[in-house]
Amino acid sequence: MSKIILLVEDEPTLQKTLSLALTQEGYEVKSALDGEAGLRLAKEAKPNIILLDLILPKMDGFEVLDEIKKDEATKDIPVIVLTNLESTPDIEKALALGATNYLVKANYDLKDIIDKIKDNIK
Amino acid sequence: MEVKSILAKLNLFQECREYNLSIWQCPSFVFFILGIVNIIVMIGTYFIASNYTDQPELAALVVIGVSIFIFIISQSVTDGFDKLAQANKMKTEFVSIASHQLRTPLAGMRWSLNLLKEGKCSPADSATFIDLLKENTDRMIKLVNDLLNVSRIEMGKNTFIPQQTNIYVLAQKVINGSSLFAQSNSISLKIDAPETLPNVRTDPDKISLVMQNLIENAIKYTRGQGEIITTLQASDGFVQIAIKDSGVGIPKAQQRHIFQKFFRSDNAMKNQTVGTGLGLFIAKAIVEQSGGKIWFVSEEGRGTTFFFTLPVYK
Repeated sequence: MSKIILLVEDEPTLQKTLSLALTQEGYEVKSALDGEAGLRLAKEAKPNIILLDLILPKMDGFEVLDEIKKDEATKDIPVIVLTNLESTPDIEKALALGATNYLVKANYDLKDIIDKIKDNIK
Repeated sequence: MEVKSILAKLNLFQECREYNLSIWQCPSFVFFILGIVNIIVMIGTYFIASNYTDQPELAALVVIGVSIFIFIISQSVTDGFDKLAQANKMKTEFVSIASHQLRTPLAGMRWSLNLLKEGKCSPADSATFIDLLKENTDRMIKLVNDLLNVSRIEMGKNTFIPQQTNIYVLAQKVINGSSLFAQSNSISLKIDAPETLPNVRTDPDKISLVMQNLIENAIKYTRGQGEIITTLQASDGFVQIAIKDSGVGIPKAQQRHIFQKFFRSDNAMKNQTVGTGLGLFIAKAIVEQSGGKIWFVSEEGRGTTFFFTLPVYK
């Protein structure tokens, strides 16, 4: 059975490219286009890893991360924050909330991101 | 409140830490020390003068006068330094926000290219990624132009070539240009104008940019079906342009910030995370450069109407 990746990303280009690359890699991709849907899918789809953007409609990534880590059922799912924000307070906040890794999108090729997923997926 | 603001001003070290200044370079601290030294000298002189000379009052008065003078000077110098530091901090923030904004389309282009280069995509997917590359390139060009415009406006170097302009033709052109974007959002664009309108005096290229920003905002922040009406009318030596939407509106508490650079209201962020917060800042600068005014009426949940005026060409 293929592993499930939950992708929480509202930007259409990034969502399309990343989900296709992950599908080609053999993963099953569940996509959420806003924070609320992301949180709901995190509970329903039981993903093996979550890729989470920070600036999201309806509910931002920090809130989503906080809720995921507070919930007994989802707290062990590794979460990679995938964002274009790069201030030290943002990074510290995400890691303090329990993010497994923090990646700046524009600095990585798709294959680098897939490598990071392989390193962290459960 | 009073006491609090004084205490905040006296928080000498925090400010300097923020600007990465050492204590002895920190103007507020240095001048504070200067003031203290002055007071001590003043009191000292008073005692010396009263014990050792015949006319102590005179000596003390001179010292008091000098001290007050130095204190005032030091205050104004501190203010000056603060403003410089503030401006510098704003520039740093500008660079940081701008680079963040540029990263999103850049990541999109990078990843689209990754997939195309791999050659594993179906022809239909490849076509999609080529379209996305184009879209992201356009977005980056607009962003870079906006940033350049902002920087020129701030330096007072925004080129402005006023010409006799038919505002109806210009509005129609902008609306036609935005019609595809409107259609894809199930929004219809209407224009309402009298048979004859006087020509206005403005820079047509720049004012097109203003109209485009306002209409695109109206489309972006209208959820579901809607209608955006652009009304033109002449009054008192000006032509007034109104762009009315039935969108999410601007929360009352945030209305006064709406023309600030990089400002985006909470509900704008919640509904549309794409956006730079530069459009209205640029629009205001251009309208004011034309000799007109820009303002809006908005109710959260009901919609917003933006108005601006341009002087009639004489």
